[in-house]
Amino acid sequence: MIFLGREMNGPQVGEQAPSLLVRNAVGRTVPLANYWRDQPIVLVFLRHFG
Amino acid sequence: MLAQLRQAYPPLQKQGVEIVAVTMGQPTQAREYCQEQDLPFVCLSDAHRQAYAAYGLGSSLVGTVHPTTWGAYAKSLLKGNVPAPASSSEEAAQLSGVFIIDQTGIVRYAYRSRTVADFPDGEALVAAVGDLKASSVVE
Repeated sequence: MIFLGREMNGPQVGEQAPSLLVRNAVGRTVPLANYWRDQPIVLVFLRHFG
Repeated sequence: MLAQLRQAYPPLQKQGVEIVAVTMGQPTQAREYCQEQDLPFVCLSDAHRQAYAAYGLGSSLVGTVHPTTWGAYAKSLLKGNVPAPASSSEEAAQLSGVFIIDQTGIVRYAYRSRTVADFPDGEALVAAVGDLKASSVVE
């Protein structure tokens, strides 16, 4: 259903997840890997702000 | 989408799994949005959508006008969930996604939305984590 838009590649199951830099609630830059070091995570990418 | 996540959060926590949400807003917008929506988990900001791109989440203009999209929005509105407006048409077409990542950083589950209203339900996420636990992939 990707049509009139952009389709991209990304990690597949079994591959390393990219640890991009994002900002936390206070604006500090943190690597995503910080969040999966202590426990598995469900990483959810929201639309708009939700 | 948010309703599914709220539903899934307690059973996921019981299994030792956290939800981490990434938004397209600036940090202050992300914080305010997550407070307004009473989201109990971590909310992060990826205003330039570099992480969205790195995880293979594209955009679909067709997906924004697909009948299933408006049906899903209508259902969500009836439940009192009012989505925040996008600041550009490009953002409005951004697709979402869900990934389960283990402690070594390996992707164990990947769901890339096909339309803007396409999202796995909470039970599916809990089941996916349960399956991984059962197979000892997620410790």
